Amino acid sequence: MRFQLVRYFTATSLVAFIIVAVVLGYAYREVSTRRLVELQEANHVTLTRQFANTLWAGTFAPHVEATANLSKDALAQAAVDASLDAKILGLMRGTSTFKVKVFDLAGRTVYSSERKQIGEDKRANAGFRSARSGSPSSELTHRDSFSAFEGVVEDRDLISSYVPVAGPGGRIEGVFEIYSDVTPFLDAIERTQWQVVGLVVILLGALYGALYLIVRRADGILRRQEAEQEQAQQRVAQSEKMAGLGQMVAGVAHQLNTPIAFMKSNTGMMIEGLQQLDVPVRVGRGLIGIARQATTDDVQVGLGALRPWAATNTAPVPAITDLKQMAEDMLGGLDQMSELVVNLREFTRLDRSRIASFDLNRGLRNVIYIARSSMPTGVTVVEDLEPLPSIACNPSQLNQVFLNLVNNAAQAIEGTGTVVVRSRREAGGLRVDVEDDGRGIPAEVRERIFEPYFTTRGGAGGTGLGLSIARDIVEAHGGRITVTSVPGQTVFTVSLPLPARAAEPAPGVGEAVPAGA
Amino acid sequence: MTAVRPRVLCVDDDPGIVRSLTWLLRQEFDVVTTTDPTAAVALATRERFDVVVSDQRMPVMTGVEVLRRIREAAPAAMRILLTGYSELDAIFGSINDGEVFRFVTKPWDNDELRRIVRLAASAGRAAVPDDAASRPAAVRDDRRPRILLVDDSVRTYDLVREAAGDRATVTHARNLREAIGVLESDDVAVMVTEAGIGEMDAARMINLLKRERPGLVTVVITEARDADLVIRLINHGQIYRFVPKPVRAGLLRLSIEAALARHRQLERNPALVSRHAVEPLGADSRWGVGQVPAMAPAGLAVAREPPRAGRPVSLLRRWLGW
Repeated sequence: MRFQLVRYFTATSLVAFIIVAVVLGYAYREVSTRRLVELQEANHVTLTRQFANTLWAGTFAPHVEATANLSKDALAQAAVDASLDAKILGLMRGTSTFKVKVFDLAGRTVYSSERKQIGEDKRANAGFRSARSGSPSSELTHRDSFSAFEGVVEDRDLISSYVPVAGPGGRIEGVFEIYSDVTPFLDAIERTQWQVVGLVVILLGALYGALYLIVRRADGILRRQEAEQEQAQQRVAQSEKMAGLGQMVAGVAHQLNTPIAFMKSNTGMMIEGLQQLDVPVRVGRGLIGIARQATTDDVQVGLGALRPWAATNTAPVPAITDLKQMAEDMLGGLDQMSELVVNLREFTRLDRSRIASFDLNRGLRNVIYIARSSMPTGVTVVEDLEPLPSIACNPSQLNQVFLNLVNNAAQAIEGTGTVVVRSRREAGGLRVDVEDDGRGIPAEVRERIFEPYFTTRGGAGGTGLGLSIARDIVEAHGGRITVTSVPGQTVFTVSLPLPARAAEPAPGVGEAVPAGA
Repeated sequence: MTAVRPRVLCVDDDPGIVRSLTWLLRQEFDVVTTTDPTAAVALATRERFDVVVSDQRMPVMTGVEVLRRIREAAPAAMRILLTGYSELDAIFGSINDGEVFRFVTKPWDNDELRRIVRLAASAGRAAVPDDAASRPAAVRDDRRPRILLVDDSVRTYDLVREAAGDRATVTHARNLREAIGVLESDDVAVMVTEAGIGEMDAARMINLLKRERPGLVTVVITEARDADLVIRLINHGQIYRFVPKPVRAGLLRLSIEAALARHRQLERNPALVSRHAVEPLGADSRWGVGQVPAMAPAGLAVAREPPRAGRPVSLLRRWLGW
């Protein structure tokens, strides 16, 4: 399965873009909100200072003192000076402040612009404790409904700050809690956030578009290169096949040439001979006619025209036995030629279905016949075939494998030597050995020998694909191809598995036949 | 021709072929056949044959090997290689090792094969190499023989000079015109030539030259691994050695040494040149060259004359229109 570059690129990009947009939007919102809270806290500090400056000493301090000993309920009942409300309202009018609370140091709510909260104990509140110890603290909250100065408001975002009030000398005397409405700010932030996200999405979209074009182009180039490589590979495989075919054809041509040579020569001589026989046959026929009509053993024949002929035609009259022998040789030549044709047809098996139940020995004998025709002088092939059960296989492909192995074996022999083709039945399968007594294969070559394009015949023929293809074919048959080699003995072994219910061996084959003839 | 019929030995692993050869040749020759190359060598060593016809592709031994062994054991026999397999190595081998007289391809033409065997038999009978002549050291010649190199490459010139050493003088001709000049002005023992000199077909060039300078021993250097060219170089040019390019110094030296030795043999026994006889080529008559007499039969009349300087190289000049 090939790598879907564009598809993966798109998916990864989209996921990355979504993450980037979300993170950016979130980060913007976080930063902005924090900044808003900080700003608002600073406002609250300022506001508190204003309250403190204008109201603390004169209004709240005495109030705190006066209520110091009241219980919670009493505190809640204690009347609040209406002028205080008015003053605070005056200070807050026009700001975004919704509510103001004042706590004494014990955490009791001594004042709240929401009257019913007066008396609440905020001692345990983290914001109060922080402010009590000197540092203001703020938090952003959302309230579905909130009672502000000017009545109940709904669906508001609020920032509430606890701010310490420092008396003269810096001593903390109380704590203010101020609520401000930041809904419009948050809305603005949200709007900007969406704008940021939108912008980012547009930019990333543009980036994706540009990258997509680049990637698609790259993908196109890769696909083309892949296709080209595949084509090149096919061409090389094809040329390997053609080289093998060429060798085979050369061998076959030679094999055909021998009978053609003597058949042509014999034909010429027979025509010559028959021409020379013309007169003698006519003479003989005449004599037979005479003999038929003769009434006695002795007949007088006039040689007449025959004498000048005999005087000029001194070439020996060809013997009928010779002419017959010539014709018989020609018949033998025709047999040689048709044997070759049968073997060729058997070898290619183009007229058969691709997968067939096949007796490997038949293929091996056929391969050896074909290989012999192009084999160097001095190489003897010995068949050592044991009866084998037929197996379901692609005969044409296996023939190609065995021809390759036999040809390689023959080429490994310098001068004279022997190639043994052995077939054996083994536990669970069949084994075919192609053994030669040639120069052997060095270990470093042996390791790489089945690799595609690995060749030791640099340049001088051989694509380096023969054994690689052989291995592919054998493995496609569920088998294995192995090699062992020492100088003087190299064995390529093809092991093929046998299906559980194997046919019985074909009878009457398998005796070892030396193959010199 | 003597009254005794020439003896011909035919070797081919196919019985059909040897029977055909027997029927074909027995009217004129005493034909002995075998399908076993080893037996053929033994036969040729034991008995005298005028001509040996051998197939190239046989089990155990190639035809070139058979002919090489027979050449060593019985140099008098003329050698013809018969093959249906245009294997280049076989062809090179047939020149350099087998020193064959002709190369005949299967299937052959009956009349042509009979004619070639007849030609070989008469050429072989005309002069028999004696043992003394085969030994190069027997006679010491004071004159340094001349090697003519016809090639436009300086590198080849250096290689040839190196190969010749002090055994011979090397004259370098860059083209055919220069070469003809040298051949007409000097005694040339050995000609070393590149196969492609200008546009001229090397086989025809050598054929035209050899018909007037039959004693000229030729070594051909060629890049073209063209089997057909090499076959014609043997059959029409009777070249003595063939050196494939890129030239290996060792092979070139061996070839030049062998050519010089052959030249000395021919000097001592000029009749031997008939063993390298060539015949006029078919198209010669169209060019007005074929009428040159003294070629028939088999160029033996001219062949008896030792190569001498001063005579014009007229056939080649006429062919070239110079």
